[in-house]
Parts: sequence; structure tokens; C-alpha cells
Amino acid sequence: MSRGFASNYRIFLLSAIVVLSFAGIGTRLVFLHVIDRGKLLGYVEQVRRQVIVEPARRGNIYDSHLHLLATNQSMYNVGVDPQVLRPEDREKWHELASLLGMPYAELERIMSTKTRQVRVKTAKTETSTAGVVFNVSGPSTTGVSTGANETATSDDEVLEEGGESTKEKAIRWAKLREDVDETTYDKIAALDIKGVYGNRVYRRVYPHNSLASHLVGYVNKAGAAAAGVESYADFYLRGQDGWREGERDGRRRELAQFRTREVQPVDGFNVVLSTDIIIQHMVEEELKELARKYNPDKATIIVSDAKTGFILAMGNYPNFNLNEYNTAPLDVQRNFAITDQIDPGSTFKIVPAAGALNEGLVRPNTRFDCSIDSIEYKGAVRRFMPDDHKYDHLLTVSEIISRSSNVGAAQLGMLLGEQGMYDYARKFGFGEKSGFPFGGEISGTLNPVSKWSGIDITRIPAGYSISATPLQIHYAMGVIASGGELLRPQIIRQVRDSSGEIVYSFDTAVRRRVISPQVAREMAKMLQGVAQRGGTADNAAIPGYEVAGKTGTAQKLIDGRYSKRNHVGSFVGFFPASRPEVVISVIVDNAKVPGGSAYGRVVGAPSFKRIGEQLIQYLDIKPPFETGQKPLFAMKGNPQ
Amino acid sequence: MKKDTQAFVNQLLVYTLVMFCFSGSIGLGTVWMRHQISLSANQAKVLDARLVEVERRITETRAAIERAQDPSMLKLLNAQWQLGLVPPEPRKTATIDVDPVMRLAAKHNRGLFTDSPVSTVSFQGSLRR
Repeated sequence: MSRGFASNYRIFLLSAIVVLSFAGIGTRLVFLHVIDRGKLLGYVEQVRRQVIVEPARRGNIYDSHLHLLATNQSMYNVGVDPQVLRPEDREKWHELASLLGMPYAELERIMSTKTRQVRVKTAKTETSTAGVVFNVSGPSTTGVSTGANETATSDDEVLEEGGESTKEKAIRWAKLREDVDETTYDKIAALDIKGVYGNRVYRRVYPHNSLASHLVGYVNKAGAAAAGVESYADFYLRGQDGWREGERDGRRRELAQFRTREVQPVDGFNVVLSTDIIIQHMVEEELKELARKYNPDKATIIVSDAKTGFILAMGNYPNFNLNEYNTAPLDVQRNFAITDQIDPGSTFKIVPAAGALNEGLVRPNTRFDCSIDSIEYKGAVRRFMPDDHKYDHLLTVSEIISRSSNVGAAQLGMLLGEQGMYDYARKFGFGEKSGFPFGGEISGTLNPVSKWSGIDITRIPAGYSISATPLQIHYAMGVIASGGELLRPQIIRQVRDSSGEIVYSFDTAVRRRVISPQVAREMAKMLQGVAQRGGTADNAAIPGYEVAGKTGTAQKLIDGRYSKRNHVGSFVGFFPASRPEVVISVIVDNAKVPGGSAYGRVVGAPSFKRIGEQLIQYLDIKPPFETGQKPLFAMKGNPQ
Repeated sequence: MKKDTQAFVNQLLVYTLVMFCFSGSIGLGTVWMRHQISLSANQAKVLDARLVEVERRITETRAAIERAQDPSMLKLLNAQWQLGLVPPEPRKTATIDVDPVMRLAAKHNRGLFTDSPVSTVSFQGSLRR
């Protein structure tokens, strides 16, 4: 047998080469997998590992009928990279300009500008990008101002020892328009213009624009909740971001199969308010009408549920568009109903009257001489605030209310005494915050008795020498409407999770009982006289319904003196008086009434009536039974 | 003795081949499985992205509907399209405590059983006969 090519020597040599090769590979593998393992893994981690944050969806804000008041929407910031534009796309620029809603000339200028001047300033020892100043202000040959979206790379810069120079820099991104909606962006994308693209951003949008702006508040572009329910309920609304850890490929795309850890985002809760967009709209239309007719400094209208204290609508003039909050002055963004204090004027007279009735000091038909100018009280003569009219007979307590007698109210206050008057004012919620949850509420001014001057006992019962927010005045009237209890103003009805399940529900919150239900009924009856013939606001009457309310006209304190030309006119009331359903306050600050004064009767009562009439239709408020008319039969406990 | 050695070598060769095939198919199976996993993961990722996209569209549509339902917008459209819709007036509205359907039915049928010949009930079929 021939030994052929495979001699022992050659077989040995081949085997040795193979073994050495394997040994070499093995050694390299040992280095890769054992010795340099940590360093290499670190490098791979750095290159391939990524953590992606999944932002939680901020909850929506709804009105009581689940109409959206605030939601999130994805938008696009559309821009262009002028370096990659193709000449054949130029004919599409006109259509692009119309989609973006910008003049063609401006679009053309931005798209045609390919470079900009960069001013470079360096310190002597600096070698980094520190000290780079972009010349984006003022006209230049390029003229493109692209703001923060433009970035510079260090290799574009000219570094000079301690000097300054300029250089043309290629523009890779020039902003065309911010906040383009998805539908428009789809149309832009369909144009297929190379170099034009958008970056998606999420924005908070308010579909009803200025409706309930002071209540809803807004989230600014930095994502911070800045005002209103947005700020107050931020804890519920904001949710919790999720994240996932994984790997990416060379094109920075996520490799889904290599996800290692994943934490799902928890969407924010939805908040349901007690307000109703229809009632809010009624209120804001009325405010617009007031502004048109009287051009007041400010005005506010509040509508609340008489039984629960939940706010159905709260509107202010002036107000602002939530989607353009950055254009509204800060003063306009304040919720006048809770941040400003005014003299309540005659609307405060319900306090001494209710107090005196509740203490059993008077009856509704107890009479007082209201034609006098002064009275002796605690050994001193006190002068009253004069009434507009002289009365030829003694006025009952009911008449003091219906005719709004300052003298009568002062005498009721004197019956209560300073401390009694102060205590009842506090019980009605004056001089303390109402508990409205947001907006920088103030507590108003009600001095302790020790700081009262000699004439305060004649002034305070008439609503002077005391200041209150419109909301405090509203809820003081709410005490009568609710049957004697001071309710906490509430705006949030429910908190719901993203699937719509109720997480928390808010219920009526009673702050305290102020007067007995019997006295509240008597007061309601007396307040009906205001909106009847002979009362101060018969123009607030709604035919077929019992309207109870009180006018108020307070002179404004200007430069330390009460002005006879500037007034705060108001009408605060509720209906139907025998079973109240809604409380409405109309307060107008410094209305300019042509040829007259801004009395509450003139500026407040008609608005009350108009809103009331609309609410009757919308809320299906039934008229009360006429006095003496008995129900014929009862069904399910309700008279039919 | 020689026969035993050859048989052993033959067996060894067969086992070696079987082992190669077995380990090869395990390797190929593993590669195929990993490929399927990555395909499934990517499909899930795409589906997830589409779901997010759909949710985003729904949100946008809801916001658009809400904008269209804004009372000011409806009022504007009422004026623009000259629909002439007006809010209900209290003076022209009757407030009732009973079921409106029953009330309207009662109103309609009032006089049905009176002697007046106008308010009789007739059926087409019976008339034809």
C-alpha cells in the first residue's frame, strides 16, 4: 500500500496548524468573553442600550355633561432643511404656503435662505463651543430667524485666539410654523416636498377657547400647569410616565425583541367639573352684553346650585382665550370673583335682618322708624347713612329689605350689637376664605369689633366699611337659599380614571349652619318683596316664578373718599323662593350708565332676569304652586 | 477482532452524522425561533404604534367635534346659514308636571268619544268593504 501524500510529517504539520488556529481563536475568545468582557459589554451597552420614556397622557377636563373642556392633541412644528430641497418641488410651494397659512413671499424667503451668518467669539484658552453667539436678531443678508430649533456643530465654528469673527453656516432646520394639526400635516406630507418635515409635540388644547377660562386654567408650553383646575387638580391630571429599556440598531431604531424591562405609563385621571358649558355660555353672553352696554371695569356672574353649592357657571369680564393665554395680560387672567374685594353694599343687609330674626329680636312685621337721621346708641348720637327716599310710615323688617333702607338696616344692626353683628357677618362667611379651591382667593375685610369706629355700627349693616369678594356675597345669599346653611363652593364633581370609572366623587360640603330653616324661609319671603312692585328691583321678576333677591349699589372708595360717580352695582338672588334651585349673582364694577347711575337695579337685575329665564328652560325649573293652591294628589311623594 | 473495529468505526460515523444533523437542526431551529420572536416583537411594536396613532386620531376628532359643538360656534353657524333658530321663550312655553307624551295624546284624543261626527274613528279596510 502506497503512503501517498499523507506522510506522517505532513499529517502532523496540518494537525499542528489546525490546533494552533483553534488555540488562537480560543485565546481570542477568552480575551473577548472573559478578560475584556466588562469593557466591551460597557461599550455595547453604551452604543445599543437605550431607555425610552413613554409619557403618560394628561387627563381631560370635562363639564358636568362630559363636554371636553381641556384635552391633549398632537401637533407638529413644521420646518425645512433648505440644503436638500429639490428644484422640481418648487411648484408645490404655493400649496404649502396656503396649508401653513403664511404668505408665499415669507415661505419663499425661508426656503431659499441656505446659510446664515454666525458670529463666533472665543476666549483665549477656550477650545470648546462655549461663547458661541448666534446672530439671530436684526436683519442680515440671510435674514432667517429660526430660534431655538437651530443647532450648531463644533466643526462649523471658527476659533480664534481671543478674537471674534463671522462665518456663513449652513441652515439645516428653519421653522416654518408651530402647532400644525395632524390633518393639515398629513396634507403637507402628501405634497412630498423633500426637506419639509415636522416634529411631533403634544399640546394642551381647549376646544371651547375662552369659555370658563378662569375656572379651567391652562398648561403652558413648558408643560407646567399654571392656573385654574389645571393647576389645582394637577396631581390627578398629570399621570405617571412609563419607560422601557432595550436595544437599538445602527439606525437608532428600537429592536423590540431585546426589550428587557418595561414599566407602563399610568394615564392621568379625568376631572369632571360641576359647570355646564350651556349655562356658562349664557353667563358669558350676558357679560358680553353688559360690557357692550355699560363698558364696566369688571363684571362677574356666578350661578350655583342652591341645594348643593356646586358652581354651575362662573364668568368674568374681561376674560381670555385659553389657547392664546400668552397674549392675555396677567390682570385679565385673574378670577375677579375671588381675587378682588368690593363693598357689598345693600346685598349685605340680609345679614343684620337674618341675625335679628334668628335671635328672636324682631319679627318680619316689627316696625322701625326709618325717617330719622340719627339715633342715640350706647350713650352717643350716631348719624345714619341717609336713605334715598323719605318714608311717611314706620317700615316693617320686610319693607326695610324690600326698600333697602340704610337706616332700618343700621337699627337692626344696633339691636344685634357690635359683637352680634360681627358674629353673624362671620357666620355668613364674610372676612374668611370661602374654601374655593384655587385662583388665589382672598378673605375680604371684616375688622374685629375692637377696631370698629363709632359710626361703623351704622355703616356695616348697610354694607359699607366691609369688603368681600363676589363669591362671598354669592354664598352669603346661598345661606338663605339652602335653608340656613353656609355651603362650601365646589367646582369638581368627580375624578374618573381613563376608562371612565369614578375614582372619587365630591358631595355637598356644609361649612356651618348659620340660621334656622324657619328664619331662612322668612328671609326668602321677605326677599321676594325686592322683586315685586314697590321693591328696589321689580324688573328682576320672572312671571310665574317667585324671585327672591337683593340689589346692591356701593359707592367706590377712590382716593380715600366714596365716589358719587363710581359704583359697584349688583343683584344677588335665587328662585323659586319657596324651593330654591339656583342662586345667581350679577356684580358689575364701575358701569358707565348713560345719563344715570350704575344702580344694582339698572345693571344687575335685568341680567339676573334674562339668565333666570334661560335657566328655567334649560334646567326645566317648574313654577311653584301659587299661594293657597293645594296639590290635587301626590305621586311618589311629590305633589302633582 | 477486525470486524468489531470496523463495526465500531461505522457506528461512530453514523452517530457523529446523526449528532451533526441533530445539533444543526437545533441551531437552525433556534435561529428560526429567534427570527420569529423578533418578527413578532416588531409586529407588536407596529400594532402598538398604530393603536397609539388611532387613539391620537380619536382624540383629535373628539376635540374637533367639541369645537364644532361650542355654543358660540353653533350661534355663528345659525347666523351664517340663516337657520333662524331662536332659544325658547318662557312666554311661549307651557310648563307641565305630567308626562308630555300622555298630555299630547290626551290633547289629540280630546273629543274622540263625543257625539260630534267629525271625531269618529275609521279604518281604510272597513270602508272598502
